[in-house]
Amino acid sequence: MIKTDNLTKVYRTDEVETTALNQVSIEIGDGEFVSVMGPSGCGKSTLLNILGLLDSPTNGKIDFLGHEVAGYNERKRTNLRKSNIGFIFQNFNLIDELTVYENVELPLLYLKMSASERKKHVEAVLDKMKIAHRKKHFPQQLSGGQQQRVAVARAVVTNPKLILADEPTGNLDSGHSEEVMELLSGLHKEGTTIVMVTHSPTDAEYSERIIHLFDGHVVTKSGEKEFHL
Amino acid sequence: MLKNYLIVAFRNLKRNKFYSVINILGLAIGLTCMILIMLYVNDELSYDKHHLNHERVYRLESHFTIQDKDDYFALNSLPFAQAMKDEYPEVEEIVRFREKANTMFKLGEKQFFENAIFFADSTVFKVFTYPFIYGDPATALTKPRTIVITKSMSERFFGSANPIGEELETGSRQKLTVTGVIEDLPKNSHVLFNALISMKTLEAFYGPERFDTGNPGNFWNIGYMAFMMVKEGTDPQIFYDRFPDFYDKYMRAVGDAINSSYELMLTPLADIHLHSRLDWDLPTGNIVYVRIFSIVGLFLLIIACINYMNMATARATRRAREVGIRKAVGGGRGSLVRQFLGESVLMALISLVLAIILAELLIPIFSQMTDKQITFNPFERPMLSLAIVGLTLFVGLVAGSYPAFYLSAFKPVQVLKASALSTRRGSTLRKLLVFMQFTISVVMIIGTLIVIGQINYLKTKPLGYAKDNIVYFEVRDTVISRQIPNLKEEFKNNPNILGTGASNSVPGEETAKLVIFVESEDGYKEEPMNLIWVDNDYLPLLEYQLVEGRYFDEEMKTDMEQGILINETFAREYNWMDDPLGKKISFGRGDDGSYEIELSVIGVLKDFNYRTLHNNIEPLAILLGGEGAAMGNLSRMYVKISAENTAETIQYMKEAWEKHIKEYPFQFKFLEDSLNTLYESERRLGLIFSYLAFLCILIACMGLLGLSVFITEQRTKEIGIRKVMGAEVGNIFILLVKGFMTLVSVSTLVAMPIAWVALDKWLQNFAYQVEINWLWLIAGAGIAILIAFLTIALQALRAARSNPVSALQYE
Amino acid sequence: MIRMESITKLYKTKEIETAALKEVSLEIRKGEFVAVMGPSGCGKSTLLNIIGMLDSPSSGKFWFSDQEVSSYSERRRTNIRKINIGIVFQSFNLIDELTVYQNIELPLVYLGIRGKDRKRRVRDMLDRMNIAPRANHYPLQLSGGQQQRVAVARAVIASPKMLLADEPTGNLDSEHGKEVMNLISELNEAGTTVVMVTHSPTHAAYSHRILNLFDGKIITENIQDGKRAASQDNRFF
Repeated sequence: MIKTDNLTKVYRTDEVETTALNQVSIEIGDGEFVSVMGPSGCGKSTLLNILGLLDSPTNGKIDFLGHEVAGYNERKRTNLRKSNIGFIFQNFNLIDELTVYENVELPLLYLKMSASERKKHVEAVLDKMKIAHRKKHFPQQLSGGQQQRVAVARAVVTNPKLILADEPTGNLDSGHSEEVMELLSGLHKEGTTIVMVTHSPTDAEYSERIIHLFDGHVVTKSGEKEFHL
Repeated sequence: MLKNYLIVAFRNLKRNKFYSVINILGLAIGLTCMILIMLYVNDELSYDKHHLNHERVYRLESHFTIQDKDDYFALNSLPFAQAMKDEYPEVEEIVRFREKANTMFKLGEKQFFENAIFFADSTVFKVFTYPFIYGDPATALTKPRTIVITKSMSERFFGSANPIGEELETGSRQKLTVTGVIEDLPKNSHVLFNALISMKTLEAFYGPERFDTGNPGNFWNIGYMAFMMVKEGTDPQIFYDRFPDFYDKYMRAVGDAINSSYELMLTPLADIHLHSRLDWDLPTGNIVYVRIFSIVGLFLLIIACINYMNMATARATRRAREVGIRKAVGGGRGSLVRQFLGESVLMALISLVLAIILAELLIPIFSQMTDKQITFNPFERPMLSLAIVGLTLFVGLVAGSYPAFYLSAFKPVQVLKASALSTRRGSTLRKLLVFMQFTISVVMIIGTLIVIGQINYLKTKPLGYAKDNIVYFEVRDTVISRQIPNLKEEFKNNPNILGTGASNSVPGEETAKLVIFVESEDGYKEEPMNLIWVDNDYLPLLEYQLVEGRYFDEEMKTDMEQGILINETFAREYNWMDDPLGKKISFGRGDDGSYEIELSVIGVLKDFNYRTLHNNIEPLAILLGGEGAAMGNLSRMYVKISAENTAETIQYMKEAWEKHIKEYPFQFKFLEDSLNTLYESERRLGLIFSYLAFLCILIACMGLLGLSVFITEQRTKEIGIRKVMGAEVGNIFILLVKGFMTLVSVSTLVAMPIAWVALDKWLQNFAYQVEINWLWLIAGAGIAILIAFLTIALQALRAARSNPVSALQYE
Repeated sequence: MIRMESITKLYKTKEIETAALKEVSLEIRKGEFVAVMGPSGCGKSTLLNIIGMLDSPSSGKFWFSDQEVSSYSERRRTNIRKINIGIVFQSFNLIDELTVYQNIELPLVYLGIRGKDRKRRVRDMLDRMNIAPRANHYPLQLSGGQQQRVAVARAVIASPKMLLADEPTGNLDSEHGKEVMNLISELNEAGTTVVMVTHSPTHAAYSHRILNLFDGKIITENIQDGKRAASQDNRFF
C-alpha cells in the first residue's frame, strides 16, 4: 500500500531549522492496522500528514498505491487523496456550520456523486456509526464521542482504502475511546488499512503492529504488542 | 455543491451575526450614499438637457467695462435679439425672457398668486422643448395679451377642463387669453416658470421705441435673458470673431460717450446651471458643491468598501479550519476559491438589495433636502443601475479575493493542527485604513461645525441697520400705492405700529445699477453705481446711521430733485471724506452736452450691507423715489412694529388692508425671515454636510468596531497570557484601547489642519467670514475621539474580563 | 501549601455537561515536586488550572496558603497568583510580539516593580537560564527548547513559591526535554514547590510523587523512592 524511503521533513522558521522526520523508511501493507507511537514532538503527526498526502517531504520517496507521490503537486495529491484516504483527527475537525448529515456528505460532494447516491451512502454510514438519530444536529450539540463517530463516518463514507487517524481518542474519555476504537477495529476487519497515531498503549493494542518514533527516527518496528507502564 | 456553499454561507452569516450585520449594513450604507449622490450629481448634470436642441442653444450674456470696472451680467438688452438675427445668418432663433414679479391672477372667484411668470417671445417653443397639452406652439405667444400656462397652474384655475381661449385677469386688471397649456417644467431647468406671457404684451406696453435697433442707448439697457439657437454645425466662435463689427454698428456710439465697452459672452444652455457665475442670474447650482459631494460620496463608498473587504478578510481567517477540512476531504484549491468568491459576492449583493431599499426610502427626504425632484427606478436608468451592480460585484470579488486566494493556499496540516494562525499581516494596512477613515470623518465633523458657525454668523452679524421687528409688503401696482396714505393713517392709530417707510428694494436683493456721472477734478466721470430709492421715512425707520449731513427731509422740497445720499465707501473712493456734502452727481447728459439733473450730496451713511454677505460693500447712492420722482418705484412698504403683541398688530394691519384694498389679500414678510432665506443654499449645504459627517463617522465606527473585535479576538491568547502573568482588567483594557485611540488621535491631529485649510477656502466665498475658532477644531476632534472610544471600550472591557483559561486551553 | 477538598469541575455547552474533575481531594506541601499523569482528557490540565487559580471549581473547597480561595473574586485571585505562582505551558505561550527580554519582564511589570529593579532581575535571570544572547530576539526566532527556557524564566522571575508546569516538555524533543526538566528540578531543589502535568514517565521520574488521574479522579499515587518525599497521608478527608 505505502512504502517510504528515507523520508525526511525539515521545518524552517526565520532562524531555526527543526528536523521532524529523519530518514524514515517504513512499509505498510494492504489491510494492515498500524499504530505510530512516541513521545510528543517525535514526528508522529508529521509522518501521518505525509502519508496522507496533506504534506510533502523535504527529501525521500513515498510510493502510494504504485504512484511515486513525493513530487506530486497539490492538485494531483488532492485527486489521489479524495478517493483513497479518510482522515480522523484528535479534535474531530467537523465544520460547525454543517449538520452531522452535511458533514458526512462533504467528501461525496467533492467526488461529484449524484444526490440520490450520496443520500444512500450517507444514510448507510450514519446507521453503521449509530448516529443516524443525530443527523440533523450540529457538531456543537454532540458529545465528544458522538462527534468523533461523525468524524469516523465522514472518513469512511467514500470507502477509502486507507484511514489515517491522528490520536482519535485524544480528546475522549475512556468509555468513548473504547467505542471509537471498536469502530476502527471493525473497519479494519472489513479490510480497510489503518494508520493511527496514539499516545495510548490501550488503543495501540487494537493494532497489529506498532512503529515507534523518537526524535524523528523509527526506533523499533515491532510485530508484537508491547505494553507501556 | 452550490447548495452546500449556500448553506455554509448563510449559516456563517447567522452564526457571526455581529460581523454580518456590520459588514452588510456598512456596505449597504455606503452604497446607499453612492446611489443618492449619483442621483444628485446626475440631476445637477442633467440641467436643460431635456431640451432637444440644447446643444445648439447659447445664452447671450453681457460683459461691461465701465471706467475699467468689469461687470458680468446674465442679462441682455431688448433690441439685441433682432440685431443678432440681422447680423448673423447662423442664428436660427432667439428668445428673450423677462421676469415678472409674482403676480396675482383671477378667474371669477378664484385668485392665486403665481410666482415665476415671464414675458417671452413666441420663438420660445422653437428654441426650447416644452410639450404642449393644449394649444399650438407655433402661434401661442404671437399676439399681445396671450399667456401659456403650465398644467398645474391650469388645474388650479380650470380644473381638468381645456382652458384655451379663457381669460385670466391679473391683479392690476389686465386680461390675458390662455393660448396654450404645457406640461409642468422639470425642476432641472434653469428658467423655471408657471406661465409665459407674450413679449408682444410688453411691446404694446412699452411702445416700439425700446425695441429699436437703431438707438444705441437701447443696447445698454439690459434686463432680458436671451437665448439663441444657432443653425446646425455652427461654431460659436464666429460670434466672438465678428462681434467687433456688431459693436461698432450698434453700440459704440454710447460706449465711447461713457468711456465704456461691451463684450458679448455665450454660455451653452446645458452649462449654465453649474458653470455660469454671473450677476442678475436666476438661481444656479455650483459645480464646486457637485465636486465636494462627489468626492465625499466616493470617500464614503471607499471607506465602506474597504471596511467590507477588511472585515471579510479578517473573518475569513477564522475559517481556516474549514479550509483545512475541505482540503483533507478532497476539496481542490479551485473549488475553495470559487466558494469564497461566491460567498463574498453574495454578501455584497445582499448589501445592494438593502441599499436600493434604503435609497428608495430616503429619496423623498433627500429630494426635500436638496430641493430636487429625484426619483430612482433602477429599470429606468439602465446605465446607472449597471454601474451600481458592476461596482457591487467588483467590491464582492475584490473583498473575496484575499480570503479566496490566501486561505485556499493554506496547508491543511497547519490549520488543522495549530488553531492559532498569525494574521498579523496586513495590520499596517488596516491601521492605515482606520487612520484614513477617521481623518475624513473628523474633517467632515469640523466642516459641519464651521459651516453651521458661518451660517449663524451670517444670520447674526450686525448689518448696519435695524432688521428686527420690521414687516414689509409689496406695493404691486397703483391699486395698492393709491391706498398707501390711507393705510398710513390707519397705522398711526395703533401704538404698536412704530412707523412706516418705503423703498424700491429689499435689503439683500440685487440693487439696480446705472451709469452715473460723478464730480471730480477733471470734470464729471462715468461710474456704474448701485442705487436705492427710498422715501423720507425709510432711512430713519431702519436706523441707517449718518456719518455726515442729514437724511432726506420732507421740509426740504429740493431733496426730491437735487438731494442724494451716499455711503462711506462711495465717499472714500472719491476722496470726499473730508468734505462730502455738496459734491455733485449727475444722471445724464443732454443733447447739448451739459449734465442734466444735477444732484448734490446731502448726507453720508455709515456703510451697511445692502447685498448678501457674499459681497463686499460697494459704493452706493440713495435717492428719493416715489411719486414725483423721475425714477424709482417704491415697491416695498416697511412697517416697524413693537416686539410685543406682534400677532395682534399684524391682525390690525390685515384688517386695515382689507378695509382699503379689496383686490389683493394682505401678504407680508418679516425682514429677518427674508434675510435668512438669502443663505438658503448654505443652510442646505450645512444640512447635507452634517448628514454626510454622521454617515462618515457611523461607517468609520462600524469599521472600527469590527476591526477592534477582530483584533481583540486575535489577541485572545496574548490577553490570556498576560492575565496569567498577573495583569488585571484595567491593564488589559488600556492595552486594547490604547492602540486604537492613539491611531484615532493621530488622525484627528492630521484632520484639523486639513479641515482648517479646506473650510478656509470655502469661507473665501463670503466677503464676511466667521473666524475659524480653535474650539471648533477641538470639538470636532473631541466628538470623533469620544465616539471612537465608546465604540471600542465596551468590547475591550468584555475581552479584558474574559477567563484566561479558555484562551489557552485549546492550544 | 495547597489543599483541595471534593473539587468538581463541570463544563457545560448547550446540551452537554462534562465532568472534567470529580470530587478530587489532595494536599501538596511546601517544597514538594508532584507529577500528574494520566491519559488525554483525564482532567490533568483542569486540575492544574484550578491549582493556578486560572479557573474556579464548580464545587468543592480549595485552600492556598491557608486561604479558601475558591470563592474569591477574580481580582483577589489574580493578586494571590501573581505573587505566589509561576506557570509554564506545553505550548510555551510566549507573546509573539514581545522580545525574550520583554516576555520575561512581564510579570514584574504587573507586580509594579520599578524599571531599574526589573532590569537587574531580568538580566540575572537571562544569565541564569543561558539565554542572555537571545534577549532581543522574538519567540518565533528561537527553537522550541529555547522558547521553553524563556517560558520557565518568565514563570520564576517573580520568585514564586510554586511553579505549575503543564506538559512543559510536550512540544520538545528528548534532549531539550531533558534540559527543561533539569531546570525545573534545580528550581525545586532551591525550594520552589512544583506541580507538573506530563505524559512522559521519564520526566515524571524527576518528581517526588506521582498522581495518576483517570476520568477526572485520582486513582493512584506513587511515592518515588530515594527522593525527599514529603508524603505521609496525601489524601485529605
